[in-house]
Amino acid sequence: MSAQSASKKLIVIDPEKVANNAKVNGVVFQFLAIVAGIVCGCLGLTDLKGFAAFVAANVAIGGAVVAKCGFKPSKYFVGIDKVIVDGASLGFGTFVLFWTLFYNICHLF
Amino acid sequence: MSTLRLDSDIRNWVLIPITVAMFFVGIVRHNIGKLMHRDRKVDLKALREAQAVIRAERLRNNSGYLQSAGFRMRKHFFCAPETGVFNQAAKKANPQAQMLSDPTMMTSMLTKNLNFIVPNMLTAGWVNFFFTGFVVGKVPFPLTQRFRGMLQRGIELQSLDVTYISSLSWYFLNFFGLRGVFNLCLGENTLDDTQAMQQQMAMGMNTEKAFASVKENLDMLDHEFVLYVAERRAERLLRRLVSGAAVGEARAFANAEF
Repeated sequence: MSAQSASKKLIVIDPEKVANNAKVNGVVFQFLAIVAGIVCGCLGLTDLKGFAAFVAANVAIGGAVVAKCGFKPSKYFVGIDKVIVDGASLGFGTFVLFWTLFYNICHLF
Repeated sequence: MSTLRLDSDIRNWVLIPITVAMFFVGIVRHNIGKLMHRDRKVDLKALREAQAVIRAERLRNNSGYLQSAGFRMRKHFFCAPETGVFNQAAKKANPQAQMLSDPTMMTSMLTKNLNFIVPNMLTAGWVNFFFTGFVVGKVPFPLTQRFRGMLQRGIELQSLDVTYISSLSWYFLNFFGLRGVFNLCLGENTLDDTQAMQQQMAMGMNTEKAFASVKENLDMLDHEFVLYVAERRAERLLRRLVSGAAVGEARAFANAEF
């Protein structure tokens, strides 16, 4: 029987699982970027309102992801800010593309 | 300033076709890349060495789960002076790795890059040839005047709002935007082990240097068995179970220490 009585917290991280979680997270945010772009374009939001909508949508979906983690994102991801920031940066280009496309289709016809 | 009214034909025949064409070009390029990679020969010796390096790294990272005897055995397998894996194979494969790294690997890296560059250049040329000289769309966000040269190539009006873009800038918007879409549709670019090895070889990884560094890391590692807590937890759990508690309650009691 071991004599050490220190109650060290064991933090076990499996890098494969973390990478898989990050990939799934990326997929969620990219999908969100497409949908948000289409919605912003159809609604005709311009300039800051469009970007604010994008940020708000990302935060909302980030909250949903955290809720799915059972409100303990450190069990699944490296950090909660990584969840949102990585996702947002992945989706930004796609958002701009679909926003421009649908804005042009719906409002410059 | 009121917004311009543009012909709806531009929408039908320029915006959407460019996006659709770039999307399909991307898919075709991805499939061609996959086909070209399939008939690549694998060098057994180089693969074996690279796998040995990966295995030693994994041993170093997960050494906490092994008991001391197990770790020492594995370390001896890798690092022993005469018979260890890292002291043998490097000599044999080194000239081979060098010969390989020039012709075959270089051509494979080159073809991979070409496979990406050529379709993009062709598409850019096609867009530039057919769709110049007119306004294609409007970006919904404000831009400074510096972007005018980039975004309005071919349109010679200085007083036109910078948010009205030409077809080439639409091409670039598509280029950056469709990367995300390809990620969704075509899955991540998961290289299997063989391709990863050969990529590593092509980057100029010298087998000898890699072996030396991994060996040094293993030698320096101070092994510590981390799972001693498992015995204590098991003891608490069993004690509770024996005294008649339910499984969930016993587990909660055992976990409560950590």
